[in-house]
Amino acid sequence: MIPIPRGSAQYFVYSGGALVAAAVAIALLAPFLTRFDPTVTVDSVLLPPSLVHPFGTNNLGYDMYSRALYGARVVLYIVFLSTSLSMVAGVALGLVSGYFGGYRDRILTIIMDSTYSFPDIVLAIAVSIALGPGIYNAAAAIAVVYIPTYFRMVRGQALTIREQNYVLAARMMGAKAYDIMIRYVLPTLVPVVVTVFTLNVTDAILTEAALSYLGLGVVPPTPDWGSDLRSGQVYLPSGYWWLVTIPGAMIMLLTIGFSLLGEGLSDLLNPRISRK
Amino acid sequence: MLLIVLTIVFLVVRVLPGDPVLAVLGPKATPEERERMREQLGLDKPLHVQYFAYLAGIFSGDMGRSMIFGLRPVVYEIWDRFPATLELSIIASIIAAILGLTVGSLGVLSKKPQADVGSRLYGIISYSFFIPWLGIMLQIVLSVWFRLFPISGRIDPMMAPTRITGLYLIDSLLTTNLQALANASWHLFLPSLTLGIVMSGIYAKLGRTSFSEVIVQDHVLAARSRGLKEGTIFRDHILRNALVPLLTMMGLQFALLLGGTVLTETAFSWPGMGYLIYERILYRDYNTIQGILVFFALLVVFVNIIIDIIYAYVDPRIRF
Repeated sequence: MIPIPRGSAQYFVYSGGALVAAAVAIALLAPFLTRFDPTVTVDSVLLPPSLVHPFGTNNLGYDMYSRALYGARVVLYIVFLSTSLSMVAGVALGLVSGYFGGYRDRILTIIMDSTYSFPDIVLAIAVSIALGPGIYNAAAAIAVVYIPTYFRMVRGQALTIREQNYVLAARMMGAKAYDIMIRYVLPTLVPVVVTVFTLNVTDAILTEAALSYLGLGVVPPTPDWGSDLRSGQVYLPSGYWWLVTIPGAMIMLLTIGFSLLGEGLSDLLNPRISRK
Repeated sequence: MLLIVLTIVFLVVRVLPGDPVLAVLGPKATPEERERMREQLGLDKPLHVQYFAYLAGIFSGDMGRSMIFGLRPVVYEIWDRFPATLELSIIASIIAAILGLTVGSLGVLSKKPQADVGSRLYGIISYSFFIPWLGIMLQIVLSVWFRLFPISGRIDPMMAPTRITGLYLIDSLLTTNLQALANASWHLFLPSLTLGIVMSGIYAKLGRTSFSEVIVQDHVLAARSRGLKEGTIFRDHILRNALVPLLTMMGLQFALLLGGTVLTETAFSWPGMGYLIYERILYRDYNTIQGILVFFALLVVFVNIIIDIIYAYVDPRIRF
């Protein structure tokens, strides 16, 4: 690997962190930043951006500015839920698989590898058709898709760490498998898992937006950037650009924020591990 | 492994809520009509019987019948739509590889830290595009404001060339139908550019890793100390070695590319399999959805096998 220019990793972390922090602030402070309810007709339909409505209004007369702000809430909530869920499940299964090995390992590995044969979005679509629309179902669908990402990485690490002397020593002293996994193996995984988590959030945001865009995840009137993009696209040929520009730009800023943060963290925390 | 993939598809599709027969026939259908349709589709049999019928069907190339539009076999539906997806993915991959590898290799080869950071930022930003949004932005500027490109579709009505391969670009060339060729390329431009830009971010990242590993190798240093021209060193010593690991990575990215086509096709109403899946979700057409999922998964497995074979051919050290 070529040496990373000094400071660029920190710069990535700072700029990414700033974008993510801004999104979290918007999500938390949404009620203070706008006086409009995002799911109520507040004015005439399809108004262009103005001082009262900085991002205009949509075909139902909803204020697009407040929808953009509250949209951050919905997407962050879903993405946080789903990535945490896949992290917990993936890490746990990966630990069991890598530490114990044997038939458990073979079964789990083959199932996880099979799910890799599906494109992310396609698997998410399949699960979410099965579960139906809604915030929690969308989170579950996205969670299922990303379990193998954690599983693979944790399993690989656990396989190596299992053979380390300090783990062998602990086992000789009669420590229980559960204790060894939690106290000796898990802490060594933290830097890798943190990095993967941040990078994984990027994919999860895009998948969430994709599900809503396809009409499967969050359905109107709940404010969501992906579904706003879909409903705005219908009015595109008539030139109502603000209906589609804003929600998509919000998605993009958020994903760039998490990507920068993830790239920077991976440079800082795991200098030896090159990206997949 | 293939069996597990097929089983996952079956399980996921069969736990779908909602009665497909009700969705297709509407609430006015009599119980007898519903029963007849259920029988036609094999939905009246117990689950395990359906499961084995499904497996047997796939291995004999039969994926059942669509539940709408006169119960057309799913295989035909896929046969109609697959070339559109294939054409889009091929052109998009070419755009992505050229764009991404250029950016990725420039960042490494120029040896300036700014250029490297620039190429990394390019990778991060282009990968962060939400595909439909990028497509819509291109549509606004190039189709709505400047009226340069069509907003949707694959070719103008009545223009489609005679089907030989189903790929319009190739078919129109084979039948020397230049009008159709021009029209098809004109429609293809925006969707493939959209998908190409997003995928190029991944190629830029992969290219960066791969090139940076090769340029520090001893054989490159040896070539340079022998006084070879930089161009020769790049072509014979860097490029060849950098492309080998990229090949396998391209295989891994293939699933991502297919996922991307689903969104690109939906944004541009491009009549491929991704748009088909979107349309059939609305109708709860289980069999077609199931068929497309199976087809997608088989395609990914198949492409990875092909890549493995090419890999062994390109890198003589690898033997299976």
